[in-house]
Amino acid sequence: MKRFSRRQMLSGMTKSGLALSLRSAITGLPMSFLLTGKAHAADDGEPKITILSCSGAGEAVNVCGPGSFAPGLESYFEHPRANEVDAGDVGTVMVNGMSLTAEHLEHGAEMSLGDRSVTMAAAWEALPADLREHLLFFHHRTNAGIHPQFPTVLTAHGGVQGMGGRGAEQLPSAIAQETADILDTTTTTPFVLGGGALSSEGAPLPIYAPMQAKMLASSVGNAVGGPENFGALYDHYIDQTYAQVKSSGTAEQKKFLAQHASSRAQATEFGENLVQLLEGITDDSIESQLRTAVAMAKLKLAPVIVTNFSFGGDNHSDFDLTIESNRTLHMIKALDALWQAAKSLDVADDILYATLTVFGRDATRGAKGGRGHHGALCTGMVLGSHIQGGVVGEMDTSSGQAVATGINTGTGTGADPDVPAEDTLHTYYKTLMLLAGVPADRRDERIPEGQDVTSMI
Amino acid sequence: MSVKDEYKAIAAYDARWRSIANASRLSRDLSRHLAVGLVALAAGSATSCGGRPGDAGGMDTDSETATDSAPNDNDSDGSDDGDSAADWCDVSEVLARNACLSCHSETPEFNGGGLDLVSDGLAERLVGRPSNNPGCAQSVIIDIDTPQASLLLQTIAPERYAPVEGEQCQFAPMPLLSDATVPPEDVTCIEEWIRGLEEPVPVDPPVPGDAFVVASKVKYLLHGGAITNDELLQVSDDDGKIVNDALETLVAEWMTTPEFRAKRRQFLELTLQQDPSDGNYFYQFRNTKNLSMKPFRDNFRMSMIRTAERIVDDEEDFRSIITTNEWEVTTLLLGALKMADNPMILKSSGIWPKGNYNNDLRSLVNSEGFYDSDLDSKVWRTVTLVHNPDSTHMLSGTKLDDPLYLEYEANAQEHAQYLRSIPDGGSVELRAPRIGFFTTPAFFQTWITNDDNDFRVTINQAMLVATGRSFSPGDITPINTDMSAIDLDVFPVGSECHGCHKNMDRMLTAFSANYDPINSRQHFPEQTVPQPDFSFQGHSVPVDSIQTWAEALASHPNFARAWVVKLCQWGTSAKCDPLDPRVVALATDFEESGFRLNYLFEKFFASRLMTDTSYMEGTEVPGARVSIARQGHFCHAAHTRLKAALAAQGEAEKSAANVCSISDEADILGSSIPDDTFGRGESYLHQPRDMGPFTAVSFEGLCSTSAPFVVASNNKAVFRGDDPEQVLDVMTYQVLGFPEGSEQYTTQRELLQDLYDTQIRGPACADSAVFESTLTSDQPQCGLDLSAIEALQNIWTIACQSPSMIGVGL
Repeated sequence: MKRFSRRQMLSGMTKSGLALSLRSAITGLPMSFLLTGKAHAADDGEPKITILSCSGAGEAVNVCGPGSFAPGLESYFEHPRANEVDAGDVGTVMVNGMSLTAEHLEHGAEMSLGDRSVTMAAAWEALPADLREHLLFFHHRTNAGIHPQFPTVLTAHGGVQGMGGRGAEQLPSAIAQETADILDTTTTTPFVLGGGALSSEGAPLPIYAPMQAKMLASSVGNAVGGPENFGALYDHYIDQTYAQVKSSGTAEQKKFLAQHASSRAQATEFGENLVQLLEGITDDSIESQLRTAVAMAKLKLAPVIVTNFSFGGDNHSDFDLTIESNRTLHMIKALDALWQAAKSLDVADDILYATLTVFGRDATRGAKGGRGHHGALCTGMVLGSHIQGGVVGEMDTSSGQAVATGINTGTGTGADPDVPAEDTLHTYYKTLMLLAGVPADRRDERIPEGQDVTSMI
Repeated sequence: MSVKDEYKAIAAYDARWRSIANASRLSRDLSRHLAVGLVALAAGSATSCGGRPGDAGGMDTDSETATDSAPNDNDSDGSDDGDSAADWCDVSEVLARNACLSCHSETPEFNGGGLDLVSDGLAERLVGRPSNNPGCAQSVIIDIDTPQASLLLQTIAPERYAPVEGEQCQFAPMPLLSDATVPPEDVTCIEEWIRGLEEPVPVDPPVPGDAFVVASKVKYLLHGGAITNDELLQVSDDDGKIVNDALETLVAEWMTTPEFRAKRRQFLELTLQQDPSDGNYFYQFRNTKNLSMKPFRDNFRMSMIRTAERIVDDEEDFRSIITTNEWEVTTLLLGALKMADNPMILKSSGIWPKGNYNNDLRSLVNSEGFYDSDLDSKVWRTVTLVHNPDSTHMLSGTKLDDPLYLEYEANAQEHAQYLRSIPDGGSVELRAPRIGFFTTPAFFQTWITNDDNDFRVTINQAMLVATGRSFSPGDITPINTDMSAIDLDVFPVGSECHGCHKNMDRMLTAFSANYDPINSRQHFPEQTVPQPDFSFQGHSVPVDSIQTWAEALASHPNFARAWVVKLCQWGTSAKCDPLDPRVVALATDFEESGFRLNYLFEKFFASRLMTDTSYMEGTEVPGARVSIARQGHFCHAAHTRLKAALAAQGEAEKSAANVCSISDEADILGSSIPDDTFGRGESYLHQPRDMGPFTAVSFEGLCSTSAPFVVASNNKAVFRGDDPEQVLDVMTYQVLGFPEGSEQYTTQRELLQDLYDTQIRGPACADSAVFESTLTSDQPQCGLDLSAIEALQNIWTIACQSPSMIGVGL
């Protein structure tokens, strides 16, 4: 009788019981949950691979997006001035055939977002209409004031529950845990291309910049004698050497060996395809991160892919807002690149894109020309073909500075809010879970305090 | 406004803000989390005090009386009359309605003083646990033998439960709202709950680890090499379990080796945070990114590391890393420090022009060759950096046409020669103070400040390095100065921000009196700055300078515990609990040793924190953790083991390959292996420990890429292949780590022989399926038909990425 080898089992692992048991061991999810996971998918739409751009620096989307050029609010917002910005450092950024300069950040323009007409920095007009049709801005508060709070903000200050209600979890990992099995992705934790210290179930996640990922993908199976033969040799060695550990070792030892086996099988699975998809990636810029993320989504490599993003970052001393101007224009270009790549690889309908930041930046400039921290007004960007573009939440200036209002979850506006302004972070996160395709009962368990905003679906 | 009033205002704001933000959670989550957990722990009735709110209205404040009057007899038949005790006396609700949980949440590190009152397992977590407050280390949060001595009760009702410790043990009365107190009936409820608790039965009892696993792990981490059979026999008891005393003897031996020094250096590089991510010292020295400036960057990075090594080797008090001005320096470094004693020359546009001796470090090396970036970066010596703000030595002007600048420029060659002449043990005057790890150019560059941040990041990171703790709004440590150091427009009294800034901003002037916040160079403030203060997490010391501020930091009572936790995480890949009694005991030992870091290494690596294990899933026993070998550990171990392999083949004099930098490709692959890193505001290291596909590929790619260098027929190779038997012997022991003479060795050696024979066997199998079947066949008919060298290269690739090399704890 032909022996059923470990390698053969691993090669078919994505569909097998062993795969489930490995995933169960690795993720901590009960087998029953893994087996029945697909049943959750239907009630809130198709699950999406989620691309999350994160910033612990705090980003000034709130200063160039909807509301920041609203009539009557001029005195609450200060924008880059083209005649002050160091033109040599910014220059012109070409987006979708349009030449963008700091002038496009100084002045607002009326444009469509979904079925709404809004006024925001003119640079956004460079994004194609079909992108803006599905681009949503979500005003909220993170209630954070300092950079080290970012890991806490990612848990909504403890409001995102861990698996089974145990402890707190960061939003990217919570989404990954809820969607990995439904999406049948290769790995079950977020893949981090950039974005700082992320963790999953308390275990820190490694970061692989695009060029590293590309190099690694091309390194799969380079041993003498061919990858298949080497794989057989290696697996035979592991089976013989660690048989006793696998039967009588500690739980941690068994878990390590299971992870080790599944990781090698997964690497073989995606290696060559990823190399081809990343052919045009030549650096680790944010644009490259987003394009790499789309390629990974195409391969269903991970349920959540994390990148950096920047609209100026920690720019207290950006005295003429040159840095902010430069990064904002390049970020708009990167968004366009993300959308083009998604359409080109035919995954535009399969992904959700959103941003997460520790706080926004002050709408007005500080003594040194740059912007301070502003946890009371953050603007998240959300993009997906299943989303009706527009704006959720509003700005309130009655306190003397622009802050996020509460949210009416039915209309998405700030009028008659049923979510207080202080709780909008939970609601933003819960809505992202909804848009990622996490079922309602799971959303309620993971973020009990938040509410769904449904106006944009 | 008095300090007391300040606290009241903070507390009032805090409570108001949080009551809005958390209103729903306080009433929903807590009952869900705590009630379930506590009811289970306390056998159902323990969370009920058995009375009604009104019953306690006239309660005597004497605790015994209060206890006696707690109406425990209510509803003794267990019937539910609709107004049962549990309706009002649920500990979760008590904590919730008294606003305890907004700070003491599941993530209590930020503003809850590390005390989590929300998560499941409250009793197990708190019973018998010493306080995190350094002054109260002898007291426990919950004392089930003497409930009145529980710090939990003493902080919520200090008038009712007289503290058992002296004035040293001081807490802010809780909740942090001076105008509010916990109602007597709620206090009684908590006391009764405590009285109903039993000594928690450990659900995850640690057990002694397997001697082979533990000894291999410890040697891997401390030295990098494989254990010998003698070492294994020495540390094994009759059941094959680890013997801690014997392990300590071995640890002491391993610590005498150069391999250990390299590993200790890795630890110091991580913990002293002297490695800026981009290596570009633009703000301090304008021009350092070029390849020719690498010697400067290396000198910056290593100065304090070498200083720390000297302190440790000389068995000095390790706290000197905070106060020392006796630094290990090179001439290049002295030149840079002297440059930073002068101001940047600014254009009217605010730009710092390069190409002059004030601003541009590169100009000192390249234009006139005053410094030899090679020779002047090599001679390390101990030099005392004497702070003299009035020194005029090497003083320059503020403009390029300033006579002072012209004189400085003309004397540049002479200056270089002077700095070169300063001997080991000599001294040099500097206008900017250079004290401890937190004033090095590397630390300033790692944590770049600016004139808004005004050294807050520098100070916070210094706190984290020295004490493992950060600022907290609930910190009630006595303050010694008025509020003139605090910008009350930005951080108004009563705001949440003020809670941290009241302590932090009083420290800023120790820095801003000496350094420019833009470029961290020497700086005289335009006006007199307020007197600094040191008030932080239970330690309050009046200070008047950065030197006395540093001394105050060095005397912080949490120093010892912080460094035990740092070492524990580095060694176990687990976030070790600073309240773990074994951590506390080691901290006490460390302190009593005179803060000798080598002593701590020796004790920790043979301690039960390191050697115990557990068979439970999701265990929190630190020693049970199995992790990937992160980059620093793996690359060092691979190098050490190849060196040992050379020695075993009679070629000890040859230098071994470093597989992580053996080629350009290896460089990238090696750097893709996850490593330990530190982060802003983080008290723990960022330590990826799980194996993922990209991590697996990093190891496999690196191992296969290095194979042609490690195994080849040339003289540079570690294994030449002319004696395959010897190569397999050495790989089994020195690389895979199975000690020669042991049972495992015999099995492994046979296995490698089989793998080797299969590969060189001809003819080549038709396909991989056939080849795979030959691996388990008694009469194989084909193989891979590889040469001996090729087969050994594959054996290396297998050994290099075997779990015993890429994992720690197997």
